[in-house]
Amino acid sequence: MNEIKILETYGPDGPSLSDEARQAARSRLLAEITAVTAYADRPALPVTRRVASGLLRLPPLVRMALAGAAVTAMAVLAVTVLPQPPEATQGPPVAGGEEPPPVLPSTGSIKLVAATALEFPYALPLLGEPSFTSGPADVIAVYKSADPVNDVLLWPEANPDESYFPTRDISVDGRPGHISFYHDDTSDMASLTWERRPGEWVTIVGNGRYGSEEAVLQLARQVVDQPQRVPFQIAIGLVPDGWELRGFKMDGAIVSYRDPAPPHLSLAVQWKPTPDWRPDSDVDGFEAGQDVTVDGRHARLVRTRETWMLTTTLPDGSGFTLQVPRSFTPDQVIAVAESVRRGDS
Amino acid sequence: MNELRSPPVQTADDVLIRESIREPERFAPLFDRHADAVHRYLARRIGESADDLLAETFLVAFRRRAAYQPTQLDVRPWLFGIATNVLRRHVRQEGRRYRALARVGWSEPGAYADDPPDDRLDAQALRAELAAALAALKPADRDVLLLVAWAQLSYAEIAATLEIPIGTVRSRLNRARRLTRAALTSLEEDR
Repeated sequence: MNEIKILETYGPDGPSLSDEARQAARSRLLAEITAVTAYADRPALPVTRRVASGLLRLPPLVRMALAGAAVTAMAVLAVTVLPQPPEATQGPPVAGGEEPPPVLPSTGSIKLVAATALEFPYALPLLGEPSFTSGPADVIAVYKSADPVNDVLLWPEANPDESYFPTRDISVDGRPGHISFYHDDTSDMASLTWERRPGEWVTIVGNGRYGSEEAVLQLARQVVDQPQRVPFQIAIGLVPDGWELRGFKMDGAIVSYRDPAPPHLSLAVQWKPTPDWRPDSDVDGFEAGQDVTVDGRHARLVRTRETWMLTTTLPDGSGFTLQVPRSFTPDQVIAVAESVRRGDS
Repeated sequence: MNELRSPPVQTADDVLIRESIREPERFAPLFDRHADAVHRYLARRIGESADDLLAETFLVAFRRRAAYQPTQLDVRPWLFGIATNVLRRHVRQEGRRYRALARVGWSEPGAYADDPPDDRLDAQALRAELAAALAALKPADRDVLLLVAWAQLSYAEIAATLEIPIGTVRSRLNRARRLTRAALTSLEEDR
């Protein structure tokens, strides 16, 4: 057996591509594609009145894609402090380019308050139990099929007038709405946004066999009010006053909050089955490290160029890494860490 | 009864890229066609970070689509080349992963469970030695070796995608193979 064959057979293997990771990566690509399309000079597009009135405003599909992009970005905790929101797609970033250094606000202005639990208001009982994903503003229920081609997404719609893809007005049992489609060689997608009650808009995106007008209308009629707590594997109990949930990933194994005001600083916590006790020198931008105590347990607090990183264990033996901006004081970092709890996922 | 539909006829990859220059949305099917293969290559090299590097690879590909040269490469080797370039920014992480695997092995629970115990031990030793060998290779040599072994690229495809002379591909591959073979002490009896 030669070296090439040995490598093929016995070489290191890696995790397979999960449905969530596939969806997130595809969404990032779709977001970029749509952003480029939106900013291109393409007057010949068959836009409707709605699209013509708001060409550069982003549609549900795009925001879904952007949600994926933002959530994926959270997987790399090393770049939690962002100088601008990830959804602010203002042109293609330079491939491989360095992030510009963030502008840090002065210290002393941070007040920690209790974070509120997240609820999702609707359900599609006939499709089983959803998982949840999120973006800058939306929590999305994802009803996965055995074949990921046929996934269904559902969310409360905060911006029903936004649209880019050509839409058509439609009535759902007498309520106003609009529908749009995306088709390519390998997928069919239909997006329906409608006013379920006066002032209450909802969006459903159907893929694959649900990617038709008939299918999403049928799904829309199956939506029921069923408030449910969004389960996180890990939860942060204290966040800076005024900060909002930025997103979460992997059923809440990664959770991030951000300051809605520029420069949009953010914090994130990532749960791991075993704590990530990597050497300080392996942390990007490492400057200094010290041992601290969190709820009586050993923790390692590392200061980097832009952030604080704290790693510690939880009572069940698992662990988490918390990353917050440098504008926090060490005591505030520890206070946030002491508020971290295993969730109910 | 559901309507029977004919299988869709796929548009060729290079046609999609060409069309995507004027109609960017035409690029999306390329992700569906090649994401699994690119992710598998990335995951074997970098582990869990492959999820994020997969997205990065396709974003870079989309931004560079105008520079794609269909006369030189099929789309898949082109994507593997971009993935390899993306990996270069994570070369330390890749090296750390191989070193960790060399220390602990990476057998999955139940893997090779049907093999005789001696074979299992041999396989585990071989895997550890392979990881150590990969960790010790120069990154440029490792790129060439793994593009051959895990992406099944030809010398010409590697030369085009890495923008190096084909003679350089040969010399890097020869060196990488020689060093890898030398590191596999558990195969000494087979030599």
